[in-house]
Amino acid sequence: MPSSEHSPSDGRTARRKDNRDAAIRCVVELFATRRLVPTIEMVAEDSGVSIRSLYRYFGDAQTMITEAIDRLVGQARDIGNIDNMGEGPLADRITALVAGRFRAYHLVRPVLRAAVVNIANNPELAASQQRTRALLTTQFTIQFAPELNRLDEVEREQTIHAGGAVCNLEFIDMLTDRQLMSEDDAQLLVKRLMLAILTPR
Amino acid sequence: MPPRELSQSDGRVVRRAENREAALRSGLALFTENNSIPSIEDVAEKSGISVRSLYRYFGDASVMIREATELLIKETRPLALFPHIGEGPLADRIATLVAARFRAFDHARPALRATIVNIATHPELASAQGITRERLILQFNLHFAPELERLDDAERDYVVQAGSAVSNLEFIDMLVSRHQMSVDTAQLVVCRLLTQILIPATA
Repeated sequence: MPSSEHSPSDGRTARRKDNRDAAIRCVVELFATRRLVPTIEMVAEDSGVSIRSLYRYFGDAQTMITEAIDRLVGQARDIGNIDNMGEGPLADRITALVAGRFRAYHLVRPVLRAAVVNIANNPELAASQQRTRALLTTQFTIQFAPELNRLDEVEREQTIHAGGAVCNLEFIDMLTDRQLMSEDDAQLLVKRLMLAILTPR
Repeated sequence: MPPRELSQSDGRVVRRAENREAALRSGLALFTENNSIPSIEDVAEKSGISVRSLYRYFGDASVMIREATELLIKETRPLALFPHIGEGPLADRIATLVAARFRAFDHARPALRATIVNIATHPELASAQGITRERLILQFNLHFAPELERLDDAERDYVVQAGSAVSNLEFIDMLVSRHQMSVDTAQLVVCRLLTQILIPATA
């Protein structure tokens, strides 16, 4: 059978991927404009992808929403990665981790609120959030292993809880969105808090 | 002059007010039970008030939800109050403030998730929350005045912002609901954080 370089199914596959991407981007934009529970119809209208195609790709709106949130969270995970974890002076390690968290926050801000709203109807989202939280906790314990290893078990657990809570994305969101701090001020505040939490007295 | 007896229309007014409140309380109960936003029909079933009456009282579900959320916020506010503000040793003052915040959290907790959801979709609700936040910040300023007075403006700003952030209900909810800490552990963590914030580290 003669090989064809561009069979119709290649074109269809490429188009399907482009359409999926367009739909997902559209969902994220809707989140950013406070439309936190986008419908298939809304996405069809804004993205130009047909309703029929959207149902075929995603099955339903919640699956579409989950995929949009997951994709952004995945990107945020990459952007929040730190090199040389656990090495170097404490202040530098704090700066690196907090900077990573703020970079990640920038990326996921639109979906943070969308996640809160959709989570009641969407167990997949809740599970995904748990996984992210576990990852962030692991990152924290590795980055600050030198300090944590000096503590007894109770102290260590409390320090992980307190430290983890003040550098997670929801806390950053609270500072910038509800307490109306600038991102620079918020970043300074989080770093100082982390230093206070991780410095033995 | 003989006291005026309740007319039929007075009775209707009273009944309407009672029904409205019953509807709001049913709405709040449903937040807790289902962790989601109830419809008018859900509230009708729960409260025994007719769907028609509910539409007449509120117009639509989003108004009902907004009023239920405002009711919860207003009821929670007084629970965070405590006497003898600013008096006593620092450790005691920290314990008192944190205990009050946890009391308020305990009351609001069942509906807190739904409140956060509602505020996300109804940003106008944020003003009711903003008032609470302002009052709690004022309380913090008064209660820790002895410590704050010694600081320059920038330091004072940091201590008030950081201290308020780690002692507000949203943060407590993060610790307890999201990080799954026990309430007792969370209370210890918040006390420690406040201590670390209010007592400058010795160089």
